[in-house]
Amino acid sequence: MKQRAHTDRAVDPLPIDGDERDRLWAAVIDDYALLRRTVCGYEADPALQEDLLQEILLAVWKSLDRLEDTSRLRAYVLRIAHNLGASHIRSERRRVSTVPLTREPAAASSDRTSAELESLLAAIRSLPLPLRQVLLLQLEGFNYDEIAQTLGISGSNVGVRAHRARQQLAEILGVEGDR
Amino acid sequence: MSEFDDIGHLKTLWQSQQMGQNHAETLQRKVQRSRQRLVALRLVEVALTVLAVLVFIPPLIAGSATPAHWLLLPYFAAFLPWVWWRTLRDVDERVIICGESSDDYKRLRLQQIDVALTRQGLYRRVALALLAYACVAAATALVFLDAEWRRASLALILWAAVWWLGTRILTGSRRRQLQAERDGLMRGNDID
Repeated sequence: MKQRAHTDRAVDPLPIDGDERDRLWAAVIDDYALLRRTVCGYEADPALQEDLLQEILLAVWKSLDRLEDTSRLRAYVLRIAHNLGASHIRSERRRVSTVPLTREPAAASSDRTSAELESLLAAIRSLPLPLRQVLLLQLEGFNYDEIAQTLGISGSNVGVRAHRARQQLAEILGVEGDR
Repeated sequence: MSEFDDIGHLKTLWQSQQMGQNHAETLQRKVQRSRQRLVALRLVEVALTVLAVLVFIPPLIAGSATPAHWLLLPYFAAFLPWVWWRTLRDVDERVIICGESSDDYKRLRLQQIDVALTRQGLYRRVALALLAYACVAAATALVFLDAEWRRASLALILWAAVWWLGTRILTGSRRRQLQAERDGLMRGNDID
């Protein structure tokens, strides 16, 4: 693991060499599906999804030099994705989109699953950002500690947000939970 | 236990979305092109600055400056700092903070937006000031100076008007976007 010295925000971070940058960039591209799903949690319109994803990848590319610990690349990239996703929503304040999510034809699953997924996506997009960010990371399989590290909040805060997110999700989708 | 208490069900559903990897390559190429565009833009701005220096400095040194040179000189004296400021400092500043925690990002982004809005206002004022300068120069030329000065001053008004209009159009959409993001941040609850 390459541990980089902590740098103050005002100080230029240590540059990473070209090979290391290429390796990190390849790892980012390997996580393309994860990033794309994250973007889907913020934007319904396929064209705007692509714009946002491009914006995120460009920001990641420009920010690689600021990564202090290369072993935490994924958390760093997701942090960028969620911050820019939040900015995207705040700056657009858009209409509720009715555009369906585009998927690979080969990936079409059963109608029921597809409908469930559409409902889940619509419900997630209607959640307040602090809850949505935690839930999206939880759905990707991150535990509370990892989510806390990624978003820069405390583990207990993650727990509270995750609970509220699931509660609101159930309310939106009209599902009775045993709360 | 409902399916919403069983996060495993939601995870499976969420991760069942298939996202083609082929698309990643297309996107990667687009990102590459964006980076090249940024470099090209910077080169154009530097080239414009160098061109302006080459056009103005030799006639001034040789004492052969025409009315057009004299009228355009203050114009470019404002233009050059503006271009350099924009080139060197008006980068996408979100990149600097986008790796921060979500709370820090919100706080820093708000500061960035306030600075950016001030800067956008300044761009507009600079363009307006140059238009005003062009109008005063044209009025002075019409009343007190000969035909060569009048022609040069009218050309200056035309360019100043184009620049002022272009600045308003370019900064207008950016200002609206920044203001919307600022409003979103100020609302605080972040509800979509």
